[in-house]
Amino acid sequence: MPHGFEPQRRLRIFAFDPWTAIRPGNRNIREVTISIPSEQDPIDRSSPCLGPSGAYLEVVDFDPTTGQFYQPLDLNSPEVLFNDGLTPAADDPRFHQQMVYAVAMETISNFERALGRYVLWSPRAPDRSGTDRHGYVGKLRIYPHALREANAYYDPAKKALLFGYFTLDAQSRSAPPGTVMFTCLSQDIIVHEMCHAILDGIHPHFIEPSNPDMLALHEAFSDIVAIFQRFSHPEVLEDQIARTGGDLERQNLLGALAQEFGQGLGRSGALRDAIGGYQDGEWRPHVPDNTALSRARGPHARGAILVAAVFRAFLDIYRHRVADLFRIASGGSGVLRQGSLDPDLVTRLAEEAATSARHMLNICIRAMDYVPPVNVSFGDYLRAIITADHDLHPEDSLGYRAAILEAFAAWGIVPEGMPVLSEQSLTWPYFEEAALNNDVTEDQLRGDISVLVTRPDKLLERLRSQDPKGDGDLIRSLEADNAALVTSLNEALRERIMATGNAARAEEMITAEGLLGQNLLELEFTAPREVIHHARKFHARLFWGILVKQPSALLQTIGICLDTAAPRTVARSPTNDLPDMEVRSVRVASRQGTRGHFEREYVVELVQSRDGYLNREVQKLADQGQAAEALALWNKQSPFFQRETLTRDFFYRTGCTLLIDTRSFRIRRVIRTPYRIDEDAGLERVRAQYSDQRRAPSNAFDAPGADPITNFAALHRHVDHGQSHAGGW
Amino acid sequence: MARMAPPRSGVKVRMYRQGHGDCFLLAFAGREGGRLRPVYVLIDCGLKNGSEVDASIQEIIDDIHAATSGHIDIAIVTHEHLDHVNGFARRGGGKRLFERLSVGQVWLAWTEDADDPLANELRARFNDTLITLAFAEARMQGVPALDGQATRIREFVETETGDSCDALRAAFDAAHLDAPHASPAALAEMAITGITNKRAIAWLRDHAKEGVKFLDPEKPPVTIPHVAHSEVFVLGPPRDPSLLLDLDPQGAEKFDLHRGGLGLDGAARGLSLALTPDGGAAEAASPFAPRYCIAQQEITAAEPVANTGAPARTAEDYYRRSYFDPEASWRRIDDDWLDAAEGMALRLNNEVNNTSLVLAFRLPNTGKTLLFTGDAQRGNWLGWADLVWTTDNGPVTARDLLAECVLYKVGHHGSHNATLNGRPEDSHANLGWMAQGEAAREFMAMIPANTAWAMGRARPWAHPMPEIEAALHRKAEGRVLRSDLDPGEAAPSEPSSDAWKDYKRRLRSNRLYFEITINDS
Repeated sequence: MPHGFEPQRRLRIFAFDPWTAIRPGNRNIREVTISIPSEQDPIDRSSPCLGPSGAYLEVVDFDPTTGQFYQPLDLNSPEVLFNDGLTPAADDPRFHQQMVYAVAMETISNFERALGRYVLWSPRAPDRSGTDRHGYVGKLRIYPHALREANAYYDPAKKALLFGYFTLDAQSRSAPPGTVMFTCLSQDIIVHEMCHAILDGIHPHFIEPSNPDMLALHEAFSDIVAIFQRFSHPEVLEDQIARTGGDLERQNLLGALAQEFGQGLGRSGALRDAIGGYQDGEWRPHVPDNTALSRARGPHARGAILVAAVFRAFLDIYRHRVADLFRIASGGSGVLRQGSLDPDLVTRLAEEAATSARHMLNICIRAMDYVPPVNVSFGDYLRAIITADHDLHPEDSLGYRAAILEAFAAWGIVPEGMPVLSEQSLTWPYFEEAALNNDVTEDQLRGDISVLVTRPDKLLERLRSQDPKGDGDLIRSLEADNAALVTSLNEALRERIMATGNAARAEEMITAEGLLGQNLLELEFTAPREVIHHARKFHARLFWGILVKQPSALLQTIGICLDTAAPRTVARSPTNDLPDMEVRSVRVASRQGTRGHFEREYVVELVQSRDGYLNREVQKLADQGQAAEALALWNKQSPFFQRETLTRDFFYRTGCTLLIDTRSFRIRRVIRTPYRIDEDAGLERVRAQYSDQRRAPSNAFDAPGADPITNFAALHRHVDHGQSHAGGW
Repeated sequence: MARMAPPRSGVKVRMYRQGHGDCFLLAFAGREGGRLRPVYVLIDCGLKNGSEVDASIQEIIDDIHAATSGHIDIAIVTHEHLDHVNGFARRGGGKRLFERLSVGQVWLAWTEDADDPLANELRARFNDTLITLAFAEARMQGVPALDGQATRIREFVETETGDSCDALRAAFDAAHLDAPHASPAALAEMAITGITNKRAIAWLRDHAKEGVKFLDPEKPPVTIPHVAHSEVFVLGPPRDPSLLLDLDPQGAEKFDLHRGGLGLDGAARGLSLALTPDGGAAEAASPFAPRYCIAQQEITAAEPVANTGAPARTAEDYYRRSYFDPEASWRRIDDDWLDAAEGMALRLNNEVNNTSLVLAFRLPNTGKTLLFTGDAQRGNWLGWADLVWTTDNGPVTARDLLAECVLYKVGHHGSHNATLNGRPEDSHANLGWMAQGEAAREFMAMIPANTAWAMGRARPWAHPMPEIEAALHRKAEGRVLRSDLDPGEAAPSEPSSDAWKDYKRRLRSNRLYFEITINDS
């Protein structure tokens, strides 16, 4: 292949689900074509590409309900390569594979564009066999026909998406009864489930229901991305805008469009319920209700409100952007003549809608780098959105932030304990603002970070030579980690070169030792994803090494407690008696600034964990390290279960996200949970949440006390049964 | 053992203490041909296998015989669950224990009526579900990860049928041999007809000397023969399928029977098709044409191709390297789809519970009511608020009846969702509606449950749910009876109060039963 020319892979999909596509009115928008960037899916035509199985995804079409495997699509076969993929057809499983692959890749590409870095899957939890390479999971599995039910979910344990299919019954409002509906042919469902997987890769603790918003955020975020990703297909957008006449007073088309998606999502119902509904045959958006959130219970009901707020902001932004177009087209009156819209106007309106949607999508995705790493509320997410956008566009010239602020406030989504809502109060504090007193400086930390980032090998050397208090354990564990990383880096690189089959490339191979002499994070988008995964991990270890040496005033500022006197329930370091601190990730976030230049920041997440008990007396004993007494009391007060060893009822986690400037190495912003790990007030709140969950059993048999629901299968299947209903106990 | 003598005016209620199940005997003072004559009403008779508290079911049935002198005027079955009906099928010494008893009328819910089209739709749905579950259980055997679910399905199938999954499958296969061309639905019906629970009810129906009555909440209150001015109001099961069934939400918005039957919908139907042998073979197989399909064995049996690092060239090779990669076995999904079966089992249990006959017996003089809810769950309760009956004394609503309630037979052993929580002013029927005014002084609750047995299960059952039991104790000021506890183990809030003393005076208890007298004057 000539160097420099890398064709994008183009694949066709159903624009809506197959049944919407069949309606005569939708003949022009039956299918759309998705382009997958060549960097994410390099085409090497010399060999088949079955599955499809690419760098990020592996489609495995096994149907366990019939014991059949289905013929895999070959992405490199001529009928696919030269024809923008197979023609959309519901009866060909290879098209199903094509569709999930294409839509999933488009979702990945949207995230990578917004975040400026690779999408990585959440690592596999360490297992006893030790065969896995540091938990790295290269490819997300996609099973398009795994279930016989109207359900699809992301399984965080298997790092897989499972899609179901089902036979329609007599109550079906769309396709005729007796026909089969495939969830893997709904674009919205695919995007929704992909978002769960991608978000889990960024924030693995977000599937813990430690507050009422956690799972709701997962749901809402996935729906938001699903809506806005729709708007990236101009064919559909133009058709819909032309059809509704673009009259601003009747301009519920965007809402109505999203509602159609909601029906496609079906089981979630979030979109359908959140954005609006038909009244007297006419679609109207819901009137926002700033008390709705206080009444809503269960992840779907709460998530729906966040979706509604984001969509309201989007509508406002769109309206603002097209006001001038309507004035121009109507000769200043703002009232268009009857009849269909001028095609040029349609194109321009569609462009504006697409631009607004793209901006909203980027804002919502980027905000995920600006949230605390654990226990996030909708209010935190609002602050994240405002901060992320503020850092990128200090002047809110397009009124985006004002629109978002208004929409969230209208739906009652405000951070707790914030008396005055303003852009200033909502942005997360700069380090100086967060500092408890003037004595706190981060000069030492700044120096350390600069070495860490630019010359990790030097830092390692320094830590080695310092070893001040004789607690050599830290160094030993770092050394061990380092050795393992070097090996796996080497292995990853060698495999990559072997896979190309090009021996000459071996000479260009960068040695792992050499890698450590440079800024690993600069490798983003050039080195293989596995190398980036290891580089981030290695940085995280080093960061831990420098952070534990910082003065406690600084640690206090960022909400970290490394005090030996902390309660015994706080997870301890494996090497000494200090409270542990998990450095979740050191990653780079790059984004375009106002002048079109690249702004880069390091995002560092710190997490601390503590065992929580529902019973306060048990907690007190466990906090004091009296495990035997705590166990005895636990068993005494438990009506249903007895335990042989003391195990936590829940995790209490706190933490902090630091944004660090890549040039000055200053900590720019401190985004922390309101409480530290040793503060019982924070623990008490999380306890209240888990106690609530225990009180609402999911069925008429199970005794409360089974572990909290954390898997998406359960979340989707038991749609809020028994939770939001009146009459529950 | 002596005959159970009814009070001159009012009713005596015996709650038998056989175990985790219901059995109640009511004695009214009746009159026949100018002579006094006690009238006996039996509500349910059954228990979960192995859940005995102390007395055996034989002793209980003997006591019923003695108390009634061998004749039950009305036998009521609330719904077709093992712990409500298996007493009627129990045998001892080669004979059916109930054989010695004669039965006058038999009262059943409208859902048992073979002439009711909606009832027939419901039964077809339940039959299909049961057969599917029985085969799902077979499919789960030998999959350690699914042990818990398989156990639960076995328990539920036993509750629903009185039989084991094995027996149900065998019955289905036998039906298939008999009628090789019958549809799966017909085979399911044939298999289900012979189950223990059905046979128990069938025996009662066959022995009803004065016929079978199907009770319906949309009909006027019924009367107890020979008991003057007796009124029994039927509150459930509701006739609205969206209340009765756990339907998919989109279907539940507006249910239209004319659009089609109540057959299994989406998920359940898919499971059923995939699991039930010969169940419409064409449908059950893959939704794709054979040319796209590769059987699992073909892949595992194919000659291994050395993995040189180059991409797979054939479908077999691709799947062997991906799905059957031993390093990636943790990502396989062979059995994940069967998770849906457990949900289906729970759903069926809820739905059958919701077909419970719910009765309010109203005493003519004081207007006091006794509420027997069977195992009615949420949907059934929600149906009550809309009911209005026209009586000689004007319209009566469920709210009126609950307000006068002095005895509440707690639904479904006190489980979640079978006693609704709320306040008197709420629009849905709930505990708060019960015992307003004068009735509050007398209000008591009876919970048929063997908690030690329920808690001792591999997956403990919260029967009763502690929050509900506590709420009942508060509401009834301690006047709560639970099968497995001797009365007085639960202390009243005010042991010296007149209400408590009156209650103790009216209560008798022994190892077989609790007996409470409710006066109607």
